[in-house]
Amino acid sequence: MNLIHYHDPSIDPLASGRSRVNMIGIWVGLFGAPAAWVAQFSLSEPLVAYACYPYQMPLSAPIWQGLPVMLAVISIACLAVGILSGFIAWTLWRQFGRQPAGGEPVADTSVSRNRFLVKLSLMSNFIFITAIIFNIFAVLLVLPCNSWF
Amino acid sequence: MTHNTPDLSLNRVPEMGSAPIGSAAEIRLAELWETAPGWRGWLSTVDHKTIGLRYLVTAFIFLLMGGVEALIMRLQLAGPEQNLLTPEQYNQLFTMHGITMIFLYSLPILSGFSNYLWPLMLGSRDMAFPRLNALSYWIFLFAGLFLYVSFPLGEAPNAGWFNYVPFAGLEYNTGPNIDVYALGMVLLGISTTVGSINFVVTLFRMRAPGMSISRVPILVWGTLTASVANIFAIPSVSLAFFLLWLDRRIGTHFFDVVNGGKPLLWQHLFWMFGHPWVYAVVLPAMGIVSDALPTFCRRPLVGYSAVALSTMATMLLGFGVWIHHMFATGLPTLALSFFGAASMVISIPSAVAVFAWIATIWLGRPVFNTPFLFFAGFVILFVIGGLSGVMTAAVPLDFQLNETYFIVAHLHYVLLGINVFPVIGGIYYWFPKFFGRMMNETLGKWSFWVMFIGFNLGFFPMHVAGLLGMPRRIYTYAPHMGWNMVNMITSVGSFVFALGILLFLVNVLVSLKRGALTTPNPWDAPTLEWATPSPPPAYNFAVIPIIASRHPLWEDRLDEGGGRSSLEQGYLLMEGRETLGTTSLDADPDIILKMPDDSLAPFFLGLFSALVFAGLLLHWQNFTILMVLACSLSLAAWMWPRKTLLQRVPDACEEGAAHG
Repeated sequence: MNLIHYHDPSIDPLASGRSRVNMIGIWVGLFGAPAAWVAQFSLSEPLVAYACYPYQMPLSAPIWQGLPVMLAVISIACLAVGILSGFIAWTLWRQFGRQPAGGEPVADTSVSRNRFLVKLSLMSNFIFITAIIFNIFAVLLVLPCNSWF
Repeated sequence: MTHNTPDLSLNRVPEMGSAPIGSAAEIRLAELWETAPGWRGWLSTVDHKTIGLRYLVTAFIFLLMGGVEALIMRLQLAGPEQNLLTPEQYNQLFTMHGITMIFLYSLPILSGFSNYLWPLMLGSRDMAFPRLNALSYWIFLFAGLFLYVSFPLGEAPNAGWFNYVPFAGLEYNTGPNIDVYALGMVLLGISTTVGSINFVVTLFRMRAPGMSISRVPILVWGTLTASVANIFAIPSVSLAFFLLWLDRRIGTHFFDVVNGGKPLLWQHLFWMFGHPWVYAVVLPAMGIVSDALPTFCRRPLVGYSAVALSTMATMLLGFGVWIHHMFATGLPTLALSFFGAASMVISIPSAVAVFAWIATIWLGRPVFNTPFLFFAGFVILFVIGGLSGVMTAAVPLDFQLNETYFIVAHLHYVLLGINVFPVIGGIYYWFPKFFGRMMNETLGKWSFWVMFIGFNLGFFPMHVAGLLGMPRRIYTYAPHMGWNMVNMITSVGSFVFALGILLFLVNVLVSLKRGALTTPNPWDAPTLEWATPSPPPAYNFAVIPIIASRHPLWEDRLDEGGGRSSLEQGYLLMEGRETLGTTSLDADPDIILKMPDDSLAPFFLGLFSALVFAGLLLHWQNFTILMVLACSLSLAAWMWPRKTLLQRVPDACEEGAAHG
């Protein structure tokens, strides 16, 4: 595919290896915590569902004694990934989030794009780390096979 | 669109310049892009604006049909022990009401807005796949007709819009009712899927140069998010309905308890689709408000990035809440708790959006035009519907509220409040762009207030009816249940609401004939669609503009630091139907896209596809096979390589072919 209009590589962060690392960091920051939440959710819920209701009848206790430990490990691992993602996003925010001296907005598209994506990463981490913590509260507060009634 | 010889065919450097109205270049563009007159042009057009308006009109007709069904039900429920409807008629009415509103109105109407507006907002001359766009509409239309075809015969779907098995299975439902629903939904799923793919590719490929990912309007974010979600969610419901049809007509046992099938499998498959769908039908509507509200507040949206992110986060979280529709099914408690937790977390991004709208109004200088009233009304209804949603996210409370009118109240606040109000407000807002005429303000304000009062009068008492224990889907009730008054108020409110809709329709008809002629940007709005004439020409933009900020038309008053957009000078692309392809993040010019001409193939492919499903419904095997062959021929005609889609520069590419 041929470009019909070129940016000057010297001002395009994508053109350098460093900017490639930055972009990887941005994507990790953006999708790390959501991926961790999806993993926590997708692993924990089926495990609990099967452990408490493996066949035709619900059980009063899980079929695996180690279920709480398994859930705790999954949650801690996912929380760690979420926090790592948040840390990466925070680091990138310190790099890209600062306005240039004098407060003048930057016209360079790639810089403003990076700042926008990093801002999204920060907010994404906040929401999905919260979601992971909500799930941890569920693990801590609710007995797996208990009845609501 | 594919390119067999991209290395050779794309070396042309597009000419820059301007093409004022009436210039030779502009006339040439109009010749290239205008649809031929007559029935052939009517059936073959791939103009996104025509398709968008068709979506809007068709979906609105379905809204009216679903509304009339609701009014008949409200007459039946206005008092106790009424005999206007039999139980079976009531079953079919509430099922068709749900199917119509959820599937045939709420998303298609938003597809109408997005189809019409996306290329205009993004600075393109069409959607990425214009023929796919036309196919999406035709299949939607035929699927809608398919779903309704058995209604006059008294054989309409009758098991509720979520169609639970085993009641929807052959053992309890022997007629063609459920087969119509199952096959119609698989057909409709094709339309939604291809439409969604088109939106996703359009966003990442068709933005004007300079419109980086941080400069796209929120409506685009909303529709993009909904489209990505649909691509993942639709297969689930299509599979569910296909398996049900196999159970009913081929003899499989996916949902058949007696033979080891799992009724809960249906609920999982349906709601894995169903709840993301709820967000798919509200997020673009929220985008309408996020883009249009700032125009009437005379300032940019507060928290653009936060609203964009909250849109995407809501959608992703929306994939983790489906079991809150199944809290009462006996699943293990901790499993339910995960879904309760996700259902509560989702209130965070929703609240972010609400506070952004409130802050925009608070910090702006609101102009109380009709669209503003609808958008402000939407914010109030969103909060009420959202709060009752958080209540039902709590598992123990949901046990009490499940299957009561409280849920009916909640879902109507969500779906009417977050969809219908922004849609009507959006029509008032973009009507001048659609038709070149303003709508009547006095009638508009009347329609808003009548709708707003009628809506709350009609639906708020449903919360009370639910708390009093009134179950959903009952065709009548005994007089001593204590539900008489709330039901009478609800019925009166629903007719008042319908009167508001009627006033809106009168306004549309009057304004089409007598509305004041408008300028390109009558609201002094900031986004790119208002840079085009009203209504826009067939080619949208005489030159592909170069964008320097999020608010190209407000750059003189806002210093957003990106310089000035170039709207009069830009890329002149007129060697056939052409537009510019750009890179996905920064929208750097990347490729000249050759766009396909009008074609009858999408219409015939849609028609024959619907007839394939008709053949399956009627068990006409030979007819079905014949229609499959007809579909194949239509596809061949569609894909046939054409010289008009060849890049002519340089000459060496003559061997190559491209098709769209």
